[in-house]
Amino acid sequence: MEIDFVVWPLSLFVFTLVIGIVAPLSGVGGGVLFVPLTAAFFPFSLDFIRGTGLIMALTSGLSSVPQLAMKGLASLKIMAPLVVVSIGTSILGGMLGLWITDTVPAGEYYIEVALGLILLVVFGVLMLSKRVEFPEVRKVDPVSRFLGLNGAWYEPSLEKVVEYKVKNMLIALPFFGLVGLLAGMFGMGAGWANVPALNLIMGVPLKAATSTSMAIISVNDAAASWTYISAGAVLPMIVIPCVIGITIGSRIGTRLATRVKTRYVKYVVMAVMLIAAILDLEKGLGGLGLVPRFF
Amino acid sequence: MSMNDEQIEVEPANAAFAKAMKIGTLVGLAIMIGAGIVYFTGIHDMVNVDAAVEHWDEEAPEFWEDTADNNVGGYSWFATHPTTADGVAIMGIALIALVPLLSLLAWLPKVNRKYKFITVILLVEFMFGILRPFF
Repeated sequence: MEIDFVVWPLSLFVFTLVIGIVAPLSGVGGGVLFVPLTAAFFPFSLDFIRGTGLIMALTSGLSSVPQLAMKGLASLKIMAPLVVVSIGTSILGGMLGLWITDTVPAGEYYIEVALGLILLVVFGVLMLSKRVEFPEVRKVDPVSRFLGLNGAWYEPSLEKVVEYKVKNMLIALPFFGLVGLLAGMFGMGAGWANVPALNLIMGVPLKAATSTSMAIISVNDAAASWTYISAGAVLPMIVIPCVIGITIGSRIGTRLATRVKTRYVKYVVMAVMLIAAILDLEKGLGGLGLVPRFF
Repeated sequence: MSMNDEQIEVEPANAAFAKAMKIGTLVGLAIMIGAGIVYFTGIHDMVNVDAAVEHWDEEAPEFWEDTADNNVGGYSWFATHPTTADGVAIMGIALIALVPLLSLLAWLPKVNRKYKFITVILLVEFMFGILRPFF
């Protein structure tokens, strides 16, 4: 057997292990990092990269949501109406993404360019968006009131139960629909968009927003995964080392997060994101013949 | 409702959802990783590991046609290979992708009428995503 079949999976394992470690330290989701970085640095087809990205984000979510739901941090009541819209758009996104790469001439280069642009948007959102730990909700919208959308969890640092209400459900719905489309199309995690939307638009406290986002990602990515599975866009040789790597890495990263100064890690990770965005754009535009190929 | 150590009442619906998700994920991961380990030893596979490395830059339909003379679309492309390690690994992946649907099914009987309605919509959408290749 050629040595490649050992070297590449091992490289993937180490790569995703590092991503898993830095993701909790930097506040940048592993799913956001994996697809563009893998597209930039590894030789795999975009079909397999995106299929793997979805399975990885899904597995991360499934591993943590049960605990978060039991603690009241992940609100299934808030998740459910939001994913009514985003499940449909994530399935559509998966179909569209695969159609572009498999049917449109030079389709993979268009996806590379779009990936680079999305990454720049993500970079901007992460740089500019604020996080409000406990937003104030003065007025609950009619839909949230009708559904009885509220939540509570015991916060150990405050030694009390934190209760919250929610607002702007109708404003948030189309936003989650768009995020679902992007997540399905690019196989990326959507935490970078879900968390600000839950926190800043709907008034969900930051910790609950992060946890509820994991529940949303679990459902959306599972639905979109079936499009990739039926299209053959999952390859065990890529998926398995990545899932193992990110699972172990995120456990290490979560423990380190309490001991390491995370601000500097965040800047390094965001610099890497910027480089990956440029590389993806260069790869895509170069493939389309619009710029010279340097890499 | 049950209490946990953090003084919050856990709704039965949430407990059912969480339990189904935890068990389903463990089973799916065990199948995927166990079969994956067997696959890397080269014992009985759909696609030889060397062939996978040689062709993994191709788009998915082209990859499976070139390596295994397999036409993708639907699920028979892996479901009809239950004795191959990579085929079983992909079944494990499919089970993992099924887990949220199973969790919603566990959640459904324990929520109020409004959320029953929402959950049924979610289940229909999910099933559409799974059954879409057959339409």
